[in-house]
Formats: sequence, C-alpha cells, structure tokens
Amino acid sequence: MNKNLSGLILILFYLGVIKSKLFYIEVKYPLLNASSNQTKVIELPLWPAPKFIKDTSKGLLVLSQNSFKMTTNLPQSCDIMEENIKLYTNIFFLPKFELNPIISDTDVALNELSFEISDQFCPGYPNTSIDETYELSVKPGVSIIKANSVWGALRGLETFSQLTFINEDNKLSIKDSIEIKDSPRFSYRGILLDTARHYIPVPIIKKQLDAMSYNKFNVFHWHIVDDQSFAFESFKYPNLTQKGKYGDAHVYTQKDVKEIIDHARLRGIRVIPEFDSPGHVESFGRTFPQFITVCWVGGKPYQAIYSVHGKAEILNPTLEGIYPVLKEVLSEYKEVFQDEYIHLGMDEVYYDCWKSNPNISEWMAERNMTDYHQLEAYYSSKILQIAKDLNKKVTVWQDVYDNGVRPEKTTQIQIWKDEAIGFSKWSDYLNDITSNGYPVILSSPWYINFVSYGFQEWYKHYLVEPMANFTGDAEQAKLLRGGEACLWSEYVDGANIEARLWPRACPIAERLWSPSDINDPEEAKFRLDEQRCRLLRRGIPASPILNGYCGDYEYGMKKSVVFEPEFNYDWLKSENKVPNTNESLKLKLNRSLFLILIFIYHF
Amino acid sequence: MEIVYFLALAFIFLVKTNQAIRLKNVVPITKGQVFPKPQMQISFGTQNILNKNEFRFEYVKGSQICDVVSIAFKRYYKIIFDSRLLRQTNRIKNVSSIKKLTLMVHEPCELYPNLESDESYNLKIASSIAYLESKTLWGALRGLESFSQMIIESDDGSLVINDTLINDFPRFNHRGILLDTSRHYIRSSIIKVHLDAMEANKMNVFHWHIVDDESFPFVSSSFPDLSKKGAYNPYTHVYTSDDVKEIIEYARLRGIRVVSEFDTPGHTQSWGKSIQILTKCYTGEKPNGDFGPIDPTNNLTYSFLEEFLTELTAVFPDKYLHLGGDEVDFSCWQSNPDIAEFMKQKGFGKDYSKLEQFYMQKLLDLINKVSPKSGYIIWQEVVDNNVVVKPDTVVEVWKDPWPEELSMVTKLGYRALLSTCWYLNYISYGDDWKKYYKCDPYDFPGTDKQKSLVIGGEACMWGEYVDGSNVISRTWPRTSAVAERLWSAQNVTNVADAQGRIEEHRCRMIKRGIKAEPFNGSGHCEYEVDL
Repeated sequence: MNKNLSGLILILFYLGVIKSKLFYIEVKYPLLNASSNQTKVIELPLWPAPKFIKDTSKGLLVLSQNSFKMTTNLPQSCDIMEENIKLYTNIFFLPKFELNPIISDTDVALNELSFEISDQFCPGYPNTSIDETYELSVKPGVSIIKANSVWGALRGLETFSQLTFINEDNKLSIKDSIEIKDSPRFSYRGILLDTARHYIPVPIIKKQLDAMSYNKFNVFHWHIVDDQSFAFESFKYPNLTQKGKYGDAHVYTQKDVKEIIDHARLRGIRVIPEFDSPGHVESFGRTFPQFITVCWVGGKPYQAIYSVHGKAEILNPTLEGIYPVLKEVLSEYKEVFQDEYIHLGMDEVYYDCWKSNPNISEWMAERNMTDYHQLEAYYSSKILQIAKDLNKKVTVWQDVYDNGVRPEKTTQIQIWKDEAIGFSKWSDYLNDITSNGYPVILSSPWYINFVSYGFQEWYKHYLVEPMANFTGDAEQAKLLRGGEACLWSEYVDGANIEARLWPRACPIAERLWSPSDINDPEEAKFRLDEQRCRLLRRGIPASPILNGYCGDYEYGMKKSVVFEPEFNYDWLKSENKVPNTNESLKLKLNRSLFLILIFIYHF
Repeated sequence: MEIVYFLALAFIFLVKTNQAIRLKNVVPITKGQVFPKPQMQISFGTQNILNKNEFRFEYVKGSQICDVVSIAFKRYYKIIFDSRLLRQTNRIKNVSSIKKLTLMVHEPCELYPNLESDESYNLKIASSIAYLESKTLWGALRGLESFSQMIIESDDGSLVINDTLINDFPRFNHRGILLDTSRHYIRSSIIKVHLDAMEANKMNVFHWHIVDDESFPFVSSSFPDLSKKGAYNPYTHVYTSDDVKEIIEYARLRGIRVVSEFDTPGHTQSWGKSIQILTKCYTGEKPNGDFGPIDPTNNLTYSFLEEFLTELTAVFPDKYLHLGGDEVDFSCWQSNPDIAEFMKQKGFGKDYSKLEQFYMQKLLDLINKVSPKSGYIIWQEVVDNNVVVKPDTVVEVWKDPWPEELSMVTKLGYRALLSTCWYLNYISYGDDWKKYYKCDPYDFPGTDKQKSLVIGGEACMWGEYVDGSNVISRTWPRTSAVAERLWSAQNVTNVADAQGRIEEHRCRMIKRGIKAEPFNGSGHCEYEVDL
C-alpha cells in the first residue's frame, strides 16, 4: 500500500478527526514521510511519546482475532501476563467493534506478539525500583517486545496497542515496520485521588486505574481519609469507619481495598495510601475527640474560630495516648496496603489552635520548647518512628520540611506549594529540598482539580519542565523521582471524575514519561486528541479538547463502549453496600428473640 | 413482640441522632424541599405515608384529561417509587397514608406549550388527601414535579410527605437552556437525559443551537446535501427527521418548547460546503479560497432561504425560530469587490452594518412570507446594528454590559431574554453557581414597563469543550441556579439558604440517573452515581 495512503487511513479511520479548513484549531497531523523541518515531530499517534522511533513501514499488517496470539518466554505461568493478554485482547478485538477477522490473500498477517522478558520472573507488587524499559519491534509474522521485566513488557504492550487502528476494510491493522526503544524519564508517575471529600465508588476507581495504565502512570496515591470522611474500613477501630463514613454505602471495605490493590498490580501501578495527620483529622476525631487540640479563646476552652483555627481538626501532640493509637492505625494500614511506602501527610498544620491552648504552652515550657515548629517536629519524629518501627518508608507533604523538621533521608518529600498560591516558586523548594539530600515528588504545577476555560488549559500542565530552574548537579537531579497529578475532590465524584481527570492528566503523563524535548503543545494537541478518542474506545468517557469528533463510538452513541461489561467492574457482593441497616437489624432482632424464646422454652 | 418494637424504635432513635451529627466542612443538605423554590408554600409537621401498592394518580371528575398528563402520571409514579432504590417497609402505627393524588385541570388540553402558557398550580397535601389543581396541563406537570420532590425516604425506608400547601407560578415564562450540537455532536439519548433534567428544574425552553460553522448535523429533506457534506459524519453524526421528531415529542411530554436556531449570516461555514451562498473572500484582486458569511448580494441566497425556512417552520412546531444574527465578521465582505459594487449601488457607503441590516430585513421578510404566524428570536447584534424587526421579536442579550443593553432593547419596545451572565460553558474552579444565582434580569435601569418586557433568560452551554462525555455533568446542577432565578420570586436570593436545597436537588438528579456534578464542596449523596 502507498505510504501516504496508509498515513491518510491513520487519520481518517483512527484519529477520526476531519481534516478541514473549517476548524478553529486546524487538524494537520503530519502525514507519513511528509517532509518536515521540525525535528521533534512524533509521527506515530502514541501517548506518551516514546524515546526513540524508527518507522520504515511500507504497508500494513492485519491482525485477526482468529489467528493473533500473544506469547511469553516465561517458564511458569504469570498472572500479570495472562491477565493483560486478556485485557488487551478486548482492547484489540472487542466484539462490539465488529471487526472483520478475514485475512485475505492480499493481506499480510501479524499472527504473534512475542514477549521476551529477560528476568523471566513473575513479580509480586510493583515497587520503586521497577524497570519499565522495553523495545518493540513490529514486523510481519511475529512482532517482539523485549523487556527486562514484566513491567516493561506491559508498557510495551500498551505502546503496541496504540499503534493498531481499524483500516478501511474494518480490519485491525498496524504499520509493518516499526522499531521503538523506550523507557520512562521519571520512575514515579502518580495520580492522587481524594476519596474523602467525595466518595468514589470502587468500580469507578478501577476504571481510573485502567486509564492510568493507558497513559503509563504507575502510582495511585490514595488520599483515602481526611477531615470530611473516614471511608477506610478499620477492624481495629470500627468506630473510625462507623463515625467517619458519609453513609452506609460510602465505605471501602478491606476487601474492596485489596481488590483495588490487585487491580492496580496487574497494571503495574503501585497503591500508596495516605494517612494525613496531625491536621486533616476531623473524621478521626469523631472517634478520638480526646486527642483533638482544644482551641482556647478569652481564657475559655472549646472556642475554635474557624478562620483562625480551622475546625476542631488538629491532634494535640502532647497527649501521649495518641501514639499507641496511631501505631495501631498504621499497622492496620500496613496489613492491608502492600506498597513499601506510606504517605503520612502532615500538611497544613495551623499553629493558632496549639498556641491558644495553655496546657500545650505549659508542656512546651517544661521541655524548653520555644517554637511551635519544635512541637510539630516532636509529633513528626514520633509518627515517623512509628512508621520506621513498622518497617515502612514514608512520603510526607513538604510542610514538614518547611517547618524545619529533618526526617530520615529515605523520606520522600512531596512538593505542593507554589507562588501561584502565595508561597515561593516550586522550583526553589525543589532546589532546596534536594540540596539537603531528600528525594522529591513534584505536584505543585499539577493540581488538576483547578479548572479553567479554554483549549490551552492543559498547555500549562504540559509545558511544565521540572528541571527548568534546577541548580543542582546530576546526583542531586536524581533525587527528583517524578511527579503527581492531584485531583482533590471537593468538586469531583463519580458523576464527573472521568471527564475531569481524562484527558487532563494525559499531558502530565507525557511530561513524566517522555524525553524533555517533547514539549510542543501545538504538535502534541493532535496526538492528545487522538489519545482522548482512544480512551473513549476503551470505555473511558474522556472529555473533548478540540472541536471535532471521534467516531460513532462517542459517549451516548450506539457503538459507545463506555458501558460494555469488558470495560466495567462490579461491586463486590458485600453486605454493607446495601443501605438497609434497619432491616437487617430487625432481622437480627427477630432472630435473637427467636433464640431467646427457644432458650426459655428449653428451660 | 413489644420488646422487639421497643428495641427497633430505640435503634431508629439512635440512628437518627447519629445522623443528626452535622458533618463539619460539609455542605448541609435539606430534605424534601421543592426546587426551584415555590412562590408560596406552607408546610406542617404532619407526615403522610405513601405506599407503592396502593398509591395512584387520578383526575377529578370534571377535569380535562390530557395524554401528556396521563403519561406524566406513569413517569412520576416510576420516579417516586423507583424500585431499584426503594426499601419498602411498613410504618409501625398512627401514620396517615395518602392513597392518591387527585388532579383538576381546568382548561382544554393543548398540543404544544408556548410562550404564553400558564404554568401555575396549587397543591394541597392535608389530612391524607393530595390535591393538585391547575389551569392548564402544563401547570399540572409542574405540580407533579413539586409533589415528587416533597416525597422523602424516612429513616425506616418508607416514603413520606408532609402536609403542605403550595401556590406556585413562574416569575418568567421563558426559562431556557441552549445546547450547541455543532461544535460537538450530542446524541439524542443524551439530549433526552438533558430534557429530564430540565423538567426536574422546571425549565421550559430547549434552545437548540443545532448547526454552526463546525458542523451541520440537521438532516434537511429539501437540502439533504447540507448534512451530507456539512456533518462531521453524514451517517452517524446527524439528527434525522425521526430524531428531531422524537426530541420534540420528548420535550412536549415534559412541557418543554424546542426552539431551534439556524444562525445566519455568520456562523455558516458548514452550510457553504453544499450550497454556494457564502461570500468569497479576496486577497487583493483574487479570491483566496476562504469564505465569509452568507453573501447578501446573491439571489441564490434568498431562493435557498425561502425553501429552507419553509421546511424549518414545518419541522419545528414552536412559534418561535431563533435566527441568530450574531458575530458577523465584516472583513470578508469588505474584501469582496462584487459586494463593494453592490454597496455602492445601494448607497450603503462603507457601512457594512447596513449590508447586514439589508440581509436581516430580507430574511425576516421571507419568514413573514412563508409563515406569517412565526415569531423570531435574534441575538442582540441585529438590534445593535439598527435592523428594524417586527415589534413582537424577542431579542436575546448575550454581551456585556448587559444592563445597558437590556435597557436599550426594552426602551425600543422589544421583548428581551438575558443570557450574558449565564454562559455556563465558561468554567472556573469552585462553587461558581453562586454568581449565576445572584444575577437578576431586572437589575438594569428602566421603568416597570421595560422590566415587564424581559420575558426570561437562558443558560448557554456552548459546545467547544463538551460532548456526550461531559455535557450533563457540566450543565447540571449549575443550571439549577439559573432555573431558580427564572422561576422563583424575585426576593428568593439568599445563597446560604439555596445551598442546602440545591445540594439536595443535585442528589435528587443523581437518583434519577442524571449525572449532575458536585458543586458545593465536600459532601455526599445517599445514592451515588454507580454503574
């Protein structure tokens, strides 16, 4: 097939955006082999863009569900590979696509995708040091993905899947000669979801993990509890959940959590839970009101003024009774969450309430503490010690560092402050914190809960260059482990999370994965638009970024796959999801009455 | 058994007190409040229970019997007794029950709602009797909506309604929302969800900005090429005449008018792909291949428009057609030598607004010719550019400063719609509904007579960044703020009071399958969006 023609097919049948003079934003996706002076044009519709591409294609290969198979060189069966082969078989050949499976005489078939995984090992949970490097070679007959580990194989499979498209004969196709070498720029590429401000149903969280893997994200930072609600099911302190949850249906049972962790593992995603303290603990304080700092005004206790003290929401570090409880809570976290890291929060600690409390002043005076930083440092050292005793590594928000606390050097510091919200530049924090030897996660420029109007909204997320103002040496640069897109959920729940998160997190995915010189939004916007259409093709209702259309599979249309069972998940059949406490109680009462009657009868 | 009941009661009490702990940092939420707030309402503490198996809707003897209302009975029965969510338990004792809602409609049934339709109703829930009375069937629909909203699930799972008297009517007759299906196509199934949401908010005009520069999804029987060449995809991204009929019918059953907009002479790039009526733009002496607005000097323009308008007035039953007329870019007209010649002949000089006026005048004459009964709505520019329009024309104000504009338009004696402060496509972080809520169409300098010419307003959801994937969650519940402004009394302006009610209303929409987004900060609905 003619090279230009196949390029055209790419546009018409996969990109699905009409090339026309009409649009305010003109579609000008570069054609295959089109002469171009630009050096950074990514000629294949991949997101995030890989490090190295060589495309010497002359035609197309056809994949048929009747013959195409994926094989691995692993000596034993590996659930991760097996599951992904299933997942991607759906992505390739979903029945609803009604693909033509016939390979005609004129077609060249691609019958096999072979995974050559050099460590030949089926891993447990992904961790900080996972190797996501891969090489992909597409050619007639057997295409090959070489990777050091299963995790790299997964990333390669995602890239491979993005190269496929449906051709004019309604067959799944791929260009016939492509070499890709790829590895991430940063090892930590996260998304924070906040399920405390609003509860996000488990099936929807699972879909977000799917979408994360389509964008090569590898960390789900789960901000699971906060002032507003405590949705995590605690067996050690059932009241935490009982009094902390919004409603009976608004709970993550430990089974739910385990399911989510397993779901994430299969996609090469770590799940890092956050237990934020000593601030942001109002819901915790409903069970342990005795540990919440009492704010004083005019010589009287219990007088919190919201604008000064926040609400009753900060722990009192001087109460020694707190620490055994925190140890229990964190050890329960440890039992459930598998990642080597736990996020301990420690952001936004407002001193005014502490300052107002005479008991705290007295306590500090006894210990010659003059500054409330010291009190915070005291608390931090206590809880960090608990984490250490539990053998957990820790991430904290930067406030701890800013307040002069210097935890152990393994502690990851997450930067969230910025001049845009009244602090210093995030790059200053980055320089400072790494110069002191701490590993860093950057999230200041990526608070994607903040929305604004217009097609350039995502440009600002995309154009962030983490190293732009970096002053340290190469060793120090290594301390920037990556970044995180934060979707705080004051204005997000199951109704809009998918449209709000996707494709708005995608630009950040590319910034964290792709080489730094892939940074031209005018080039990227068409690839991004295509990635958005691709997400729709996989059941994720991502919102539009350009005028135009994707195809007959858009949300609400007959061929939409947003509600296809292959791309959706059920609730666990667990009882507490049904909000009928009274009925079940009545049932129990009846049953116990019955037992009592039997008991009486027997005597 | 007494002890069981005692324990059960004790438990219910415990649950109650437990729930009464107001979650701090979380928006309070009302229970059983009607949204938008009725003009007059008195509620009493007495509760009545509704039982799925015995409850029914009934006409009073002597009432008009209208198909729209009879169908609404079924719809509201489903909404009230949603079996998926409902926990049916029987109340213990001493609670009166309401076995039926009886309805009296006075005036004969109409086929379609119109601008003058009376939507007032009286609703009385007292001593186990529910009685709804309205002048027209449209008022009956509004009353049914209020009735359904007052029914709440009590803690034991039974459905209850408080004794209540309501006397209600809208402040404005035109309470609209614009959806743009040109920048992005929105499938009918989503438009229907949208119409459900409009009904839940007592909005009554679906302003369908159906075509624009970007695409022409309306399938015309007289000019099928318009969509064949102008739609994003002529097979999948179009509204066939069946689709259009279905949407109009779906809207009619909910007392919603469908006002279609075919915007000219600007915003017509997609038309030009099949019909050669656009102005050729020139660079120097030569056409440069670009096209501008419709060419007012071309005779083909008017013969085409006459036939097309004839079709439109037949397809869309509403008296009003929105003729657009906004944002006409003069630069292409200015570049074209034939137009320059025409201007000279007509003595327009260099004043291109005169050319626009010439076009609009011709267009309005055509409408009057093909459908003398039609009325039209136009964007404000038409009047700003001094085009003389029929006295009963409705002028839609969308530019700032809108108070001055409303003042000017109503001074000229035209009726006006406000949409400037309700461009909901513009998003910003946080509870932006408050600013929509605070915008009042009467806040302009003018006499009482001028104010009476303001017939309502419209929330606009332009389609650059919305399609099926996000249009519902972005439009609702933000539009609810506009809905209350347009329905409720002028003095209903307390944001803090509205907050809890609007929060309940969002959860109500969620429960009805409308994915309205959270917009009040942290919180929860008892029934969240699930799959």
